[in-house]
Amino acid sequence: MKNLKTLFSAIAMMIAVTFMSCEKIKYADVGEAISLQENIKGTWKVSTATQIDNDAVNKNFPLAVQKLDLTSRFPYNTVVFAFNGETTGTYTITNAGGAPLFFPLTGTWSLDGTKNGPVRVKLVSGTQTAFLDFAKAYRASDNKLSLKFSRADSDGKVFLSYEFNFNRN
Amino acid sequence: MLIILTSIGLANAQKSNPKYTISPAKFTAEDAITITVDLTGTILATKGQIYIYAFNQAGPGLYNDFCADQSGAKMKDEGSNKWSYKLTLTNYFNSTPAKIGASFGFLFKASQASGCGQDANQTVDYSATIESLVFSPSVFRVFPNKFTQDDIVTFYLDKNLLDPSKTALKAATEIYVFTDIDYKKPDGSSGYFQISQYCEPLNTGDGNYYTGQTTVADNLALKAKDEGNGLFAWTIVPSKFFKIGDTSSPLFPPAGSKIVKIKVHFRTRLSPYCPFTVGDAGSLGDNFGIPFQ
Repeated sequence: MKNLKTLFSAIAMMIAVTFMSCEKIKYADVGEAISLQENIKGTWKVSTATQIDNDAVNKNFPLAVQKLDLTSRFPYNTVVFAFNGETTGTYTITNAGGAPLFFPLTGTWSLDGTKNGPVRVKLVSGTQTAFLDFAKAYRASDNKLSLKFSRADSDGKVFLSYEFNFNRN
Repeated sequence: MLIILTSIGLANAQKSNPKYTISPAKFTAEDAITITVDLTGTILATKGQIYIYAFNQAGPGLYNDFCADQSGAKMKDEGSNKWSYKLTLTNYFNSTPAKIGASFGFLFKASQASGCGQDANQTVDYSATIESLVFSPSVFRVFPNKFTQDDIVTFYLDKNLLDPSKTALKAATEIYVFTDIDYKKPDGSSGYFQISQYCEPLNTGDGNYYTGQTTVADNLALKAKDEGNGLFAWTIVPSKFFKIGDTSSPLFPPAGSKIVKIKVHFRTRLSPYCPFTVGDAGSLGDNFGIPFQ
């Protein structure tokens, strides 16, 4: 009986000690959310432009034949995108150096595809429509943007794309 | 007790381990391959219709329901206990060679109707090596592989891979291109156009070139960029370079024209083919036409 009592005290002490040594674990802040919608509005200046051969990427060919830097070949550093409005509005692209661009330079922009797939930026100008995909996701405070224009064949398979990286202007 | 144990042992038959072959023996993810299995001597030989089941890191294959007897996974009865299946991995896994990787797994199974996953109704897992698609450097290359006439296109010459007989081109520090296009006008008729004439002096009798342009030798727009290590690159947007829809000259392809073929011919500044050429004789690069996508 005495041994049992000792045993119980010992257990009680162990439990007490265990509870005393429990600490609430402090988790780091999750931080600012990545919001694509919030990120596109404003003025952006192109920092780099790259052409990607998706066929070479898919075949895992050497990196040198997968991509081509266009920033050194055309004056993309003079290209500025201005997206007006919050979630939709007008946009204007200024292209002082006349670098090759594959979509209308002015029109209305909106976000598209939220239900069925990844969010895309839709550019409409008269009868012309073009889509830009988000190449990378950034937080608004990163002050960076990355958009991609792709060409797909009749099966919808992308064979070529242009990636534009921007800094907030 | 012993009898019960023995019965259990007999009921749990082992998975079969037949021999298989893949043809061709070396294949990439883009090749059509035939997998043939010989079930002779295995319990599967008695099980009727055989099905294939393949798996890979890229994700689920076309016939991914192991417990179902999917008709698309049916193997072909070749007789003498042999069964075959034809597939292309990029198609079967609906993915790219890069994602599919260096190997894929597969097994062969009988109908699962009597109970899914019984050892007696399948083989062990197999794994086969996939060859990588090899990029072969070549003397001429176009980037990207597929493009439209409104895209940026770069034509490369790798001097290191030139035939040794092209001594002048190999020695040249300045490389130019001669280029022309075959195109289709909106009315369906064919057209041909070259920005600069091939020779100097100008042959004013030839109506195919754009009057007023300098010859190849003096047209800096036709000069290739030295990328270093013997690589030269010439970059254009074809529809812009060949002035499609530019109304300032009737010789330019009309708006709506579609380029059918573009020829890019790397050369030195001067050519031995033209009479009265002054200066060092150059030598010719090879012609190559790029059929448009």
